[in-house]
Amino acid sequence: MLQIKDLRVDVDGKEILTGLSLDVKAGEVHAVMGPNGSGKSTLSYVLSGRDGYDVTGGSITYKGDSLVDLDPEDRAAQGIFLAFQYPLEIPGVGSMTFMRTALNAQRKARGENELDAASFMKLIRAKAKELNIDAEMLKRPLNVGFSGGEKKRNEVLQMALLEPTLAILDETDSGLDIDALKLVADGVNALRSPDRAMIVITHYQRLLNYIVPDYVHVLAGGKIVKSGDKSLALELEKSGYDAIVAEAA
Amino acid sequence: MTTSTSKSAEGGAPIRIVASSGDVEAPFLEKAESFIRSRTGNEPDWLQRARSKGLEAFRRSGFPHRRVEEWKYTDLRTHISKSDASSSSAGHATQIESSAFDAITLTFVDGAFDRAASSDLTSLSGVEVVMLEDDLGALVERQKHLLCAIDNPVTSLSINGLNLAQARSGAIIRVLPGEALSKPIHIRSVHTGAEISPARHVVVLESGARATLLETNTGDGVKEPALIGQSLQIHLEPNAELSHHRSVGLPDACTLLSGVAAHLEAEAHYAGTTLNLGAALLRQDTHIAFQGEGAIADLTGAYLLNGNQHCDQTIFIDHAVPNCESSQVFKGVLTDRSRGVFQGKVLVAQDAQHTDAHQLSNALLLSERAELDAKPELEIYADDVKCSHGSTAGELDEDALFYLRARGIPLAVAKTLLIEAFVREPIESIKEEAIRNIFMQQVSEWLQNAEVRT
Repeated sequence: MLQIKDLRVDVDGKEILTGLSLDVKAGEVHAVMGPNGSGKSTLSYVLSGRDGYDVTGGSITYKGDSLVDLDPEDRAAQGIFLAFQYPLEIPGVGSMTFMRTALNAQRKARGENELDAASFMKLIRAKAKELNIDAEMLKRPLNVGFSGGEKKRNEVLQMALLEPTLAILDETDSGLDIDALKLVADGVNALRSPDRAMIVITHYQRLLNYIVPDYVHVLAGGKIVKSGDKSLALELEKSGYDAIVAEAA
Repeated sequence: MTTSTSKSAEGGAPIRIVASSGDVEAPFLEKAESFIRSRTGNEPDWLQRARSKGLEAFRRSGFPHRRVEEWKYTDLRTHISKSDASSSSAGHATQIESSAFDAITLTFVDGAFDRAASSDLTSLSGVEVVMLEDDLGALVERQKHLLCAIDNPVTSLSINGLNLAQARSGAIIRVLPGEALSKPIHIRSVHTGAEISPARHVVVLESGARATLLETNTGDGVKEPALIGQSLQIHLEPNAELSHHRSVGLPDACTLLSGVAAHLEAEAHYAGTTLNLGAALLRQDTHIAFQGEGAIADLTGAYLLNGNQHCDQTIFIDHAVPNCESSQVFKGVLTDRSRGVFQGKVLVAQDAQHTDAHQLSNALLLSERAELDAKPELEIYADDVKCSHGSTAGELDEDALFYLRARGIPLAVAKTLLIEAFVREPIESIKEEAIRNIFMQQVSEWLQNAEVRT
C-alpha cells in the first residue's frame, strides 16, 4: 500500500529525514518510535502533504502512484488520514459543518454522491455511538473548549467517518491520562481492518499496550535504524533509545 | 497594539481648513440652495432656518480632506473630485427583500420615501412614524432638536450640514413609553442611479421602550458615480433598548457617508451591528454619548472588501457620566487593493468612574496590496475604570488551513470556512434570529462571489 524509499526531506533548509525507507501493507499496523527530534512529526507531515516539507530525494508511493506532488486534500481523498498530535481549535467553524464538508469533499473528489444533511446526521450519530462519543459535543465549534481526551476522540471519530485506507496517528497518546488513552485506543482498534493500514507514531511504549502493532521501527537521525516486532517496543522501554540507537549504529 | 493619545475633544469642532477651490463643492451648494428655496412655505420656519445653517457650515468648510485629523486616512474630497473616473466593476449587492421577514417596512428609493412600497403608517401601534416631507406639527421638541442637530463630534460639521440642507426625506420615529415593538422597523434604502438625495432619520425611544431597527442599503441599478448621504439621530430615554443593525451592499459606483449619533440616558441599552460589503467608499461615523448612569452600548461590525473598495469605521464613545459600559468588536476581511480604516476613540471624563470600555479590531489581510489603518484612542481622565483595546492584522492561520485540507477540504473551501468563522462573532451577537441569518447569508454570498486569495 505504502512504499517509502530512501526519503530525504528538508524543513527550512535543514535535512530532517535522511534516507528513510518503510513498507506498509494493507491490514498492517506499524509503530514508529523515536526520541525527540528524530523526525517523527516530519514523517507524518510529509505523508499528509503539509507545505514547508520539501522532498529532496527518494520516493513515496501510495497504491502504486507517487504522492509527493499531491495537495493535502487530494491525499485525503485518496484515503490518507492524519490524526493530529495537537488537533486545532477553530472557533466559528461548527464540528458538524467541518465533518460534513470534509466527507462530502472527499466523496465528490472520488466521484461519489454527496450526503444530504439528514443522511449525514444519521451517519455521524451512528459513528459517535459506536465510539461512545456524546453527540452533544459535536454541536460545539470544532475542538473549542474540548479537553485533551475529547480532542483525540474527536480525531478518532473523524477517522471512523472518513474511513481512510492509511491512517497516521501522530503521538495520539500525548496529553492523555490512562482512562482517556484506553478510550482512544479502543476507538482505533475498532477501526483495524484487513483493508486499512495504520502508522502509529509515538515516543512511549505505553500506547502500544493498547494498540498492539505488527511491526515496530526505531527512527533516529532521520532514518529507521532498527525494525522488529512488538517486543522491540518493550526492549526500548527497558533499555532506552540511546542503547538501541548506539547498537544499531 | 498601539496607544495614541490626542488632545482633549473639548472646545467643540476641530479646526476646519477652508478648501482651496470650491469646484468640488459648487454643484452641491447650488443644488442645496435651490432645494431649500423649493421647500419654503412647505415646511416649518425652524426647519428652513436649520437647513440654511447647515448649508452655511458646508459652504465654510466643504468636504473634508486629509489634513483634517478625523479624515487622515479617508481622502473624501479627492475621492469626490475624481469620482467620475472611479466607477468600475458592478457590485454584488444582496437585495434584502422585505418579505424575508415580518417588519414595519419604510422604503426609500434614491432618498425619497416610497409610500406604496412601505407599511401603512396610519395603522401602527406603540410607535409613531412621520416623514420629513409631511406635516411636522406633531413633533416633540426632542425630535425637532435631533433633526436639526449638526454638531456631532465625529461626523464633520460640513457633511452633516449638507445632509440637513439637502435631505428630501427621512423617517422620524418615536416609540412610546414602555412599548416593546413586536416587529422590527426596516429602513430599506434602495438606490437606482437617478438623482439621489440624502436622507435624515430620527429615532426616539421613550422611557422603557424596546425596538429593533434594521437599515439596509442596496443599489443594483447604480452605474454612474453617486454620493449617498445618510444621517440617523437616536435618543434612548431611561431604560430604553434599541437593537440596531445595518447592512450595506452597494456597487462600486456608490459612495456612502453615513452618520449615526446615539444619546443614551440612564440604564439605556444600545446594541449596534454593521455589515459592510462595499461601496467604492464607505464612511460610517458612530457617536455614542452617555448621558445617564448604567447605560450600555455594544458595537460590533464586520466588513468584507474587494477591488479598490475603501471602508472607514470611525467611532467616538463619550463616557461623560459614571457607571456605563461600552464595547466595540470589529472584524475586517480585506482582499485585492481594498483598504480598511478603523478609528475608535473612547473618551472617559474625569468623573466617569467605574467606566467599562473595551475595543477590539481584527483584520485579515488576504492580499499584499490590501491595507488596514487602525487607530485606537483611549483618552481617560477618571482613575477607577476598566478600559482596554487591541488591534491585530494578519493572514489566515496556516495551521488551521492545513488541518482542514488534511481532512480533504479543498483550499478555496477551507479559506471560505475560516473567513466565515472570522466574521461570525460580530454577526452572532445579533439577537434577532431572522436578521442574523440574513447577515450570515450575505457573508456567504459575498464569499462565493469573491475570489479569495492569499
